[in-house]
Amino acid sequence: MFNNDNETMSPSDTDTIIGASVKVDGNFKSDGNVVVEGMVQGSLKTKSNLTVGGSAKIKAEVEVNNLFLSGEIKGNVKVTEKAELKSTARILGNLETKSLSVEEGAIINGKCTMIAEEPIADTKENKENKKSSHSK
Amino acid sequence: MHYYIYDQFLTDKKFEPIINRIEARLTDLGINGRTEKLTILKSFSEAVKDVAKKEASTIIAVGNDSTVSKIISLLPNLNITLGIIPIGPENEIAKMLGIPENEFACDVLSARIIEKIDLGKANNYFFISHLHLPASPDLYLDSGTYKISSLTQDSRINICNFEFDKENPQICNPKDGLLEVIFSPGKKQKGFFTSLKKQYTNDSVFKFKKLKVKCNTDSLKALADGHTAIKTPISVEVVPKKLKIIVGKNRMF
Repeated sequence: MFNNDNETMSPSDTDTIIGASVKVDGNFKSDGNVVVEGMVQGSLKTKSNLTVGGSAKIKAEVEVNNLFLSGEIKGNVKVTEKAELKSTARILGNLETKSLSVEEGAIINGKCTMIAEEPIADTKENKENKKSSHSK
Repeated sequence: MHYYIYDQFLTDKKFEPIINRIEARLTDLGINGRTEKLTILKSFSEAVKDVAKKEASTIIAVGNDSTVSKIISLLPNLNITLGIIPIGPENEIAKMLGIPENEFACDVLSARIIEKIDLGKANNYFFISHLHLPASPDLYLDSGTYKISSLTQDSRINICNFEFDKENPQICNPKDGLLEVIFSPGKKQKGFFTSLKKQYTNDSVFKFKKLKVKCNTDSLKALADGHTAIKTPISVEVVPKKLKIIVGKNRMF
């Protein structure tokens, strides 16, 4: 299960392992790290890392902190921090992430949106500049 | 006051020398107490009820894993601390608790380190180690928001509370307030407890507090702690810190 593609987590770091022989249907939610090698349908949310193996098939809306993808996700994907797409990765849906790394061969069929690092703060200077430009 | 409940299999004469050594050591340490020796005519539940009436604070299970499991299912609603003197084969629970076999266990009882550990509850039955589910394509687990099912017909499914694996020391800790569902594809069960000792690399692991075991067709039988059959549907939950148990310094959690 833990091949070279997803060495980022060992089983002891992982709260949930959805192995190749298992299917999860419904709204799966976790606070810990999740590894998927099997099938998931519905939605998948975690506040930690999601590692998707090469044989995994996910048909779900995905919301995670970090994504390490070698398999396939059909559905929209929202990543709070970093998305790492290996050469075998396939996303058939929209991807939203703060940081993106893509290996040659990876496929994204959908809209890819990069989330801004931090929204520009409305400081006093900014407000004054805005006012002065309007008055002109 | 300590009450010692001796399992029925200890009536075999080959255990006599061990029991003599144990009783001598208990006397030396000053922790000897009343004994209940189980026979065909006296069951675990009768023995535990008798002990509870006498307002005992500690019951010592003298026997093996099976002895411990049977007593544990009777204890949770009583304010009684459990101790173990492991004798004979199949003493995985005692090993995990850091309790050595035979008369050496007496020193652990004397030191009296007490831990409160979780128990699993399957319908109305309490289990300490695991609930084994039969391999069936019709079986699935329902958490309320999602369902887990096996894609293969030969998956072995265990719901574990207390299991130690050297490769994955964090899995199945009896103090984490969680149970673990472990799907093991294509592995046949070899025996009581020993079957769980293996790597988890091909397995699926889910941690949870409460779920239901359901079956699409006829009712199936699950086996709690290797000896008690429970029919599906089964409501399984963890009951945190339910059991007070005497442990050794070398416990694995």
